[in-house]
This record gives sequence, structure tokens and C-alpha cells, in this order.
Amino acid sequence: MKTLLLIVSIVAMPLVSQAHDYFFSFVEMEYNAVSQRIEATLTVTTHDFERALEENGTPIGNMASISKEEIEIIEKYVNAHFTVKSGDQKSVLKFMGNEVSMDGTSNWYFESESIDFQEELSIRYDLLMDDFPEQQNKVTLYHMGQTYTAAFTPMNKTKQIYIEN
Amino acid sequence: MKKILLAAVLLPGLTFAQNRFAQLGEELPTPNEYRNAAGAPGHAYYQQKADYDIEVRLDDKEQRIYGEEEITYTNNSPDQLEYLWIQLDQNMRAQDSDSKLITIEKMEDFRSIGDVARKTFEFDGGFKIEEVTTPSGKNLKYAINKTMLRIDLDTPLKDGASISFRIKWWYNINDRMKIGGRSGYEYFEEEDNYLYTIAQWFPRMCVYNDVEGWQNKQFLGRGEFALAFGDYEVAITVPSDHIVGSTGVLQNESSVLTSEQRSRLKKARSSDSPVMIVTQEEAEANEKEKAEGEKTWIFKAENVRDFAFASSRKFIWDAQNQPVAGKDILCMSYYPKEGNPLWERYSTKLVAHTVKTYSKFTVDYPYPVAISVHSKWIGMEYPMICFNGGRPEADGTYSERTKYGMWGVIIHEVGHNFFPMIINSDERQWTWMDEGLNTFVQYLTEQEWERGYPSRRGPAYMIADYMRGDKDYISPIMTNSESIWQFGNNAYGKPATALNILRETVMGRELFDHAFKIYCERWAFKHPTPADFFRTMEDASAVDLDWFWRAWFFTTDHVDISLDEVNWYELNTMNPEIEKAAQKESDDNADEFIGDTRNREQIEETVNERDDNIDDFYAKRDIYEVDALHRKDYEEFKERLTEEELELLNSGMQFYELKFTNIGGIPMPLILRFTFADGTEEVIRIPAEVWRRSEHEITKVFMFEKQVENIRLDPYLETADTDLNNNSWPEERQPTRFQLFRQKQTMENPMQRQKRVDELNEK
Repeated sequence: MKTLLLIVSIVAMPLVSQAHDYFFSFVEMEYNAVSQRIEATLTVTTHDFERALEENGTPIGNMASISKEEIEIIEKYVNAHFTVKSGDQKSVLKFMGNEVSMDGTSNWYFESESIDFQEELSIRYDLLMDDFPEQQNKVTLYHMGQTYTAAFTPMNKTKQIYIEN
Repeated sequence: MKKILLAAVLLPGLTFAQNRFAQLGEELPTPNEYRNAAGAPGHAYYQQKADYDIEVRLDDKEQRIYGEEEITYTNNSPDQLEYLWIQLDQNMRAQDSDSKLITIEKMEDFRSIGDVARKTFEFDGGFKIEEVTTPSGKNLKYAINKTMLRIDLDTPLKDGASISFRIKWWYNINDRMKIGGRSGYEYFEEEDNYLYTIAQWFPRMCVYNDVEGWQNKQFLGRGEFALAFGDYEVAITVPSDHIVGSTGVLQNESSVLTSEQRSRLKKARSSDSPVMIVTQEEAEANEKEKAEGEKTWIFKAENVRDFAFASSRKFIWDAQNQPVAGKDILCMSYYPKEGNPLWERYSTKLVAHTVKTYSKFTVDYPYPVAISVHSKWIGMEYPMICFNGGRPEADGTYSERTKYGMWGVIIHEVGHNFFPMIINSDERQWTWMDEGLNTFVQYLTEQEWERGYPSRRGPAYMIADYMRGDKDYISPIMTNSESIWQFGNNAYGKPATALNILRETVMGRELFDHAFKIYCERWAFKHPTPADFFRTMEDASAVDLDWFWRAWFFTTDHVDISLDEVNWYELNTMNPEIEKAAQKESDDNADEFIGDTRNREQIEETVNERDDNIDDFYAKRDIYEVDALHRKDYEEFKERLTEEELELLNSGMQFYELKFTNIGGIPMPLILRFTFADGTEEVIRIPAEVWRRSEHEITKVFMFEKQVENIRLDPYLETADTDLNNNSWPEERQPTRFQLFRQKQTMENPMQRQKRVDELNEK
């Protein structure tokens, strides 16, 4: 059956491949059992992130000093591309801060609203994948003394993690 | 709790699971007369030579290249060649290119009108071959297979013989800003000007060698180039107001430069700081008016594997001298005003620093010039010239991140002169051999540019996030260039890290630097393979690294060594005065069952307390008492010992048995920092061979004359251990990045601190 393609009328900036790009981001996260919140740090290649937001039609002026409005853009973007589902609950991440390093990476700190951690977590992490076909992401979860990892590609944007409670 | 060590009987391990330490036999090709077992070129090593005489015209109106070349190919192999293969790398942009066909696509790739426009954008790229002839104009039989062209020879080219032939072609130059590319043009709409960075622009001979025969892997866009060395004479015709930067040495200064420019260039040749050849003011004037005529710039380059150039009327140009081993290198930069103020200040100095520092670690830079050309954001390398990103904002300001980005890319791309332009590995097969080695020396060079330089790659700990855990989308380093998952981490980061670990931890700087330089010297202006590198590093250092190559280059294992258990023992002195007292102290301090405590409080008197006849010898004896027989036995024991043994017995020696598990799979040295009760520290380094007979779990006993309070495995972050939470005794959880961020949030910010400093100063 034919499906109508809805074209979003964003006039995107030209996105061209660069010879030496990085295309890798990762999340380090831990479930805070006291606050029942996920504490997550996204580490991204800053210029990849900048260009993805430009492509999204929401460019950020200066990553090292973002405004309140830009925080909302980033929150929305990250929540659309990094989600943790536990049972019928889905994470909603709130921006806590960021740090831009001179080595080309930046850390973005997020905390979720309260969420119950169940045995099976379904994680979607497709940050930057819409814009960079070679993008790969990885999640490292620390929970109750155990470490869990999951890698994501544009062909595998969602993975399950089974945690030992 | 401390345990008393009574006796130790060591039993040798009876099983030898030595897969990770097996020699790299089957994985490497058998050494032969072309490449020997030491990793050096063998006595029969040969390589082909390809000399080029090219005339090229840059059409600035149509953005086209028109070229005609005469290639002289010399067959130094022992083989007769029935045909010749030539690379047509521009054909990767042809409309029927496989590169487009093999791209994986999803409907998500078409979510915006911009996406659709890009996907439907048609560019008539690729070489348009007009003629393939003998020098006298007789047509040669040829066939094109996508990005390669085969010339069928009437008679085979014998060993030692040469053949010359001509090719005429043209192609449309790609708009690098729209469709990407290692080369192409950038259009500056405001003044209707172009900046051309031209590469892969002429049909180039494929490599024929003892490893692959003819290089026969098509150019799909990622695996770069395998090219033969040769001499070039290239005449580049461009609009007369263009400035050209190119591989090679300019042969006709007087025809293309003004006398003022020639005078400045002469000054630059002996200057240790940049001298302006074309100033920004002059370039800005130049770009405003377009000349009608053309000029031909002639360059010669000897013993290079490729040739690239850049041309624009927008170019500012500066140069300085950098001596290397008594030879003068003219370091130069070409950039438009859009690159300033960054480029004028840093580019040429970075070029000079890079050729000097790389020469120290590899081979002396052999070419007479080294050039950095500004492009908006790419980084791409060619012999003597490279195209580098790093553009300030339109208002002339730039972020610190832009500055470091520009510094890093210039050092990296200039560094590529050494890998693979001089040490000429096959990029089409092995990206890591140039990118990995180059990224490693880039790190060394950055650290000599600025103390504490924020290098992106090199330090061991920086690769941990990539290597740990889920291996679904990770490839071994030894993966062909086109099939690599995670190109940047796999081909740049991981090999650079591995070499850093060899240098800092496994081999040590002196052995590593010696062996690495030997490799570079052996294979300068030759075609090395991975085996040549692996073998030379071992051969020149007397360090068996097969386990290291196997783990780091042939697997996707990671480093995670866990310090699982620490058992503390002390020697039994056999002295009853000491041991009985120690036993009493231990018993007195032992945990007591709650029932015993309550019984002592609640039972007022027991039967034996009431009746003296109940307690017998056993009940009345003091087990902690030292009697004459104990003393006699001790004296007799001492008499059996030598003086040295007695001294050892009384030394108070503490024994710590540590158990380690190799969770990640890569065997690595154990670097252990012991902190003692008196606050002092000792670092002990155990070579990785400790794992050779037991890959997964080992124990090791450490003896000290004082008590240990804390043990830390890999305290200097030198092994790329991916989980630091299992590296300490007593257990110490490392804070997550989030927790560290939170901690920082609660501290005063730098401005608050400065306020306090100001207040203090006022007092």
C-alpha cells in the first residue's frame, strides 16, 4: 500500500560529508534510586550536534552559552532522540547543564522526571542519525553495581536492556 | 582481615590456555624476498615508478578541469605486465557511480524538502576521457571499469622496461559546499568568486606490487588511495589574477609573480616567522576585479605519490623557512580573507612546527615545501599540500573551539605528508596505517605546541567509551577501509591509542621511539603493509608484541581488568611471645554472638562457677600462656635457621594476595599503586605476560614491610580500562559524569571566586 510522504517544509542547510568526521555519541546514565530519576550525560561531537540542530531548523548560536529558549530547543531535540521506556512509562528529560570542551566534544547533562525502573528497559538512542548516516551511539547504564551497554545505528535505533534488580 | 601465613606450596599451572599469547603465525603473510621477517624491505623488494608530464587548464567560468598528460611507467617488478591499470577516482561522482547505488537509504532520509533536493540533485561528475594514445598519437586499446581504466598492451611490458602514453580528459568540478568531497570548489556569492582545491584531478597509475598485484579495489568514497611514486612536471593554466599553491616547486616565478612578490618570497626563504607574499589588502583588491587573461604556473615535484593544487584570486599568501636536518623547508599558507584573523596568525607557524616535530619522530621531511590551504571545513591531504578547515565568524571573531579545531586539522593534515605520502601505505586497504599512525604523531605534535593541549585522540582513557561493552557495531582495526564500523574511532582513535599505550606502558618511550623511527626509515618512499609495521616494531625493540597486535588490532575486545579480591597475610614468626599475644588480641577482638553477650549478662552464675570440682585441666589452662616448652621449641627452631632467614622471619613482612579477572578480554600490564598506612606510596608494574597461562583470572602476591591501606589498579589511566569501578581496594566507586557535574554546580563559580580574591586583595 502506498503511503503519502509528508514533507516537512524546512529549507535545510546543505549537509555535506566531511573527510574526517566523528559520528559517535554516547550516553552515560545511572538510575538514582533515591530520587527515582535517570541521571544522564550525553557526550557528543559539538560541531555534529550544531549541524544537526541547524538541519533541524533550530540553530544554536553559541553552544557554550545557551539561552533559555535554546535550552527548550535542545530539550525537545534530545527527548525526541533519546528515550528510556520502562513498562508503560517513558522518560522525560530535563536539561540540567552543559560543558563544551576544547577537544571538540561537549557534555549535556539531563535528569528525568520520576520513573520506575523495571526489569526490561527499551532504549531508543538515535541522536544525530537523521543527519549523519554513519552515526553510531552507545549507552552505558550503571545500575546496582552492574554495567550495561548497548550500541545503536541508523538501522538499529532501539535496544532492550534487561537489568538485574 | 589479616591471615597468618603458615606454609606456601606453589603448584605450577597445569593448563596452558595461550590463545591470546599465541604468535601471529596464520594472521600474517609468510615473509619472503620482498618483505622479510624483520619487517624490512627484502633483498628483492621492488616498486614501480610513474612519471607525469601534465598540462591542465582550470576553467573558472564553467568550473571545469581540462587536462592532458603523458605518463611514463617503469616496470621494476620481475613480472611481465599484459595490461596497465589507471585510477579514475573522479568517476566516484559519475551519475552511474556504484557509490550512490550502495548507499543504504530509508524514508527517514527524505523528511525535509532539503533532503529531497539533495537526493534528487544531479551532478554530471566523473572523468570524460577523450583520448588514450601513444606519445605519437596512435590510439591505445582501453576499457573503463567504473573508477578504473585498463590499457591493453600490444606486447607485455617486460621487467625493467618503461612505456609512455597520453591521456586527455576533462571533468566538471564539484561544488564542495553542496555535495561534499575531498576536493572541489567553494563559491563566494557576495563577490562572485571561487576558491578551488583540486585533487584526484588526473588519471593516476594504480600500484602494482608483490602484495596485491594490481591494486584492484574500486574507489567507493571512503578507502582512499594507493599510488606509485614518481616525478611530476605540471603546467597549470588559471585566470591571470589567480594565485596558485601546489605540490612541488614553482619553476617560473618571474612569469607569474610580481617583482615585489618575488622579493617577499626571497625574504621568506630565510625568515623564521611568516612573511606576507600577498597581503590581505592586496588579496581583497584582487578579488574585486576579474582579469580576462590566463597565466600558466609550472611546478616540478620529485618522488611524490600524488599531486594537488589550489587556485583562487582570493588568496592571501604567507611563508616562512623551517630548517630540518640542515635543509630549508619553505612553509606556506594560502587563505582567503574569510580565514582571518586565525590563519594569518597561526597557519604557517603550525606547518613549520608540524614538519619539525614529525621529522623528530619519523623521518626528516624530505620535500622543499609544505603548504596549508584554507577551506571552510574539510581536512584533506596531498604531498606537500593540504586543505584545512577552521573559519572564523563573519565578524572576525572566533571561538576557542574553532581555534583548536583549526590547529588540530592543520597539524593532522600536514602530518599526512609522512603517513601516507612518504611512508606510503595502501589506504584503499588499510585506513589505520595512515590515519592511525598520523593521529598518534599528531597527538605528540600537539603536546609540543602547547602544554596541556586538549587533544581529541591519543590518551588511553579517551577511547574507553567507544571500546566498552556491546560489540554489535565495532570492527577490529584490521578491517578493510570500506567495511569499517565507526571510521573515526576505529581507524583514527583506536590505533593512535594503541600506539600511545605501547609507548607509555608496554614498551616505554625509548624502545618505542627507536622502533617507530626504524619503521619510518625502512619504509619511507616505499609501500609498507600491516605485517611490516608489526614485525619492525618487534624486531627493532626485542619486545614480543604479538599478543598486543592480536588483542588490539585483530579483535574487538576491550580492556576491563578487575581487582576482585585482596587477601592479607603475615608471616608466622614462630615466636610464642608474639604469636600467643597476637592470637589473644585477635580472639578478644573477634565478633561475639549476641546470645553469648546476653547470657553473660543474664545468667548470674553457672554450675562450674558455683562448684570448684567441675573445672578440670582443660578448663583451667590459659591457652595464651607461654610456657618453657614453647620457648624451648622456639629456640630450637631459630637454631635451624640461617641469620638471613631469621632476619626475614622477624621483618614483619606483610603479604597481599591480589586476585584479578580479565573481563574485557585484552590482556594488559597491571599497574598497581599501593598506598601504605604511613602515607607513602609504591607503584609496581607487572608486564601483560602475567596473563600468558591464565587468560581470565590470575592471582599475584605482593610483599611489603608495612601495611597497605589502599590499592589502585591503573592509577594513571594508561591502559584504556573501561570500568574504573572495579580497580580499587577497598572498593571505590568512580563518580559518573553527571555526579561530577553536580559537584561542580555546588561549588562557587569562577566569578564568585574572583570576587573573594578581589576582596582579599583590597584588605
